[in-house]
Amino acid sequence: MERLSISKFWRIRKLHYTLAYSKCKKCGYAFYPPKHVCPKCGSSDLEQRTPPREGKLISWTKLYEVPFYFEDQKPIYIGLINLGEVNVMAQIVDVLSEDELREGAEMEMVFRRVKQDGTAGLIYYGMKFRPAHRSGSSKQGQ
Amino acid sequence: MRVFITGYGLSKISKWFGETLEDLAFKSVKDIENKGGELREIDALIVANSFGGILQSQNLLSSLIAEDIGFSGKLTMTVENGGASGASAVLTASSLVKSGLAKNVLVIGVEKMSDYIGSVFNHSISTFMNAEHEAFYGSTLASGFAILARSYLSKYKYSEEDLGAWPILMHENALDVPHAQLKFKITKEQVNSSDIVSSPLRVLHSPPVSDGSAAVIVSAEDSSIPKEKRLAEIKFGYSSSHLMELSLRENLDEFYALKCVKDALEKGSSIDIKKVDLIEISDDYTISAPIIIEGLGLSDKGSGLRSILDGRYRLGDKPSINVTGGTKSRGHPFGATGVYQVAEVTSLLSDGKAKGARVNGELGLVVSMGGIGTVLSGILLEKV
Repeated sequence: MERLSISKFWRIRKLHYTLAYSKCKKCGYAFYPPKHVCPKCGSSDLEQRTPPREGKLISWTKLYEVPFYFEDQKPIYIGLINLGEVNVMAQIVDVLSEDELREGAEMEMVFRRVKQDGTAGLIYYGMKFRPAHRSGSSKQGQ
Repeated sequence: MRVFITGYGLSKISKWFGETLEDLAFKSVKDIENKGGELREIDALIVANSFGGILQSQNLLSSLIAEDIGFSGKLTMTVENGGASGASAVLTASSLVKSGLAKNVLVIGVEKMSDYIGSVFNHSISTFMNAEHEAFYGSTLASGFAILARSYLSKYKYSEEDLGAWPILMHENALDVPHAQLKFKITKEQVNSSDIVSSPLRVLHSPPVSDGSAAVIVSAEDSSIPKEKRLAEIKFGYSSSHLMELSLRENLDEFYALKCVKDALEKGSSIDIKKVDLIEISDDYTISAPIIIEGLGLSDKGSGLRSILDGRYRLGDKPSINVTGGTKSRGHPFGATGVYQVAEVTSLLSDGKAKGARVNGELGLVVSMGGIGTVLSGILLEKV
C-alpha cells in the first residue's frame, strides 16, 4: 500500500507550489501537467510558465468516496479549472454554498495541506482553489 | 491466420471473501472444461489483472496462477491495462497466435476488489489518474466521471434523473445472467435516492465492488483443437490510449482513444460498426455509456442518453448493448471485465449459456475501457 515518501514529493514540490505548466516553443501549445514532449506537435523544446492565481470553473464534483489519505477531509470538492492557457484538476475548498460552483465561477488559488502520513509524520502541501471575490475574502488566503 | 475462441469459462461475480485470486482463476478454468472446452493443448497463458500488485501485494501473477493450475515451463505473462486489461489480453493472445509463437492461448481475467475497506478501493481506482497530479489531490475514477457527467448533462440539457435510465436497464438485463453480481430490479426512485458517490453520480450509477474471474481460449486455425470446438472468430482487435489527464482533454464528451479503436477496427476488418448486432461496452459510472455509444457512431453527439431514455439498445434491438448487465450489474472486476465481455459475446453468438438466450446476428463487439477513456480496447467477433 502507498505510503507518503519524502523523495516522491520533494521532486515535484515546485510544480505543486506554483502549478507551473509547459508551453511549446514550436507550436505554442500550453499544457498542464508538464510532459517531456508537446502533446500537439511532439517537440521537446518547451518552456516553463507560471499560471495566473485566478481562473474559471469548468466542471466540478463533490466526492464522498475518497481515497484513504483524504478520509479526514471528506467530502471533498474537485474541479476542473481554467487558468488562462491551461486547465488544472484541483481540490476546491471553503465552499459555503454550491451556488458558488456554477460553470464560469471565478476561483482563486490558495496554499493548503493536501495529505499527511500519521505514522511517519510527513505532510504534502499544494495549491487548492476557493471561490474568489467573495465579500470579506482575502486574496492571500490561508 | 484466422483466430478463434474455442472455449470460455465464466464464474459468478460477487464479493468472495473466502477465496484467493488463484481460487477464482481456477473456477473459471474449470468452467471452460464444464462447457466442453479443450485445455490440454494450451501452450501459453496470459493473465489479465489490474490490482493484484496493490490489493493482494502480488506481482508475477501469471506465474503464480500457471503453477497453481499445473501449467509449468510455458510462456506466461500478465497484462495490466486498467479496466481494459481483459480485452487487451485477448488482443495479445490473438497476436501471439498470429505470430506463430503459440497455437492455443489461455486467457484468464481475475480480480479481487473486496479485500479492504472502501477508502482503499477508492485509492485503487485513483491509480488510473496521474498519480503525481490529479490523484495527488484526491481525484478518483468516480470524481473524474462525475466531472464528465456534470459537463455532459449541462451541455446537452439533461437532468440528473435522466442518468437513471441506464442502470435501470442494466439491472433488468442481468436478471437472467447466471454469473452476474447484482440480479435484482431497481426503480427510478431508488436510483435517485441512493447515496451520492461523487455528485451528480450516485451508488446506483456506479459499479459494485466485484471479485471474479473469466477465461477464454484463443486458438489458431491450424491448432490441434478440433474445428467443432470453435465458438467465434476474432475478426480484428485493436487498443489505443490517449491523454490520461482530464485537464489536457479538448472535449469532455468524447474519448479520442475510442475514435482510434473504431477507425482501426473498421479499416482492419472492413466491417462497419453500425452492422454489429451485439455490443458489450464499459459503462463505468453510467456516463460512459452514452459517450461510448456516441463515439461508436450509433447515436449523434449528445443524443446517446436520449436514445437510452427512448428505449434503444435492448435485447432484440440492433445493436443490442450490454444485454448481460454491463459493469453496473454484471459487475466490474476491473482487470477481468474484458475477458467476461469477450466470453459473454462469444456465448451469446454461439450457445447462449451466458444469458439463457442467444442473440440473432453474426457480429459482436467488445469495447473495454481503462481509466476515463484513457485506454480503449476493441475486439470484433463473428459467429462461426
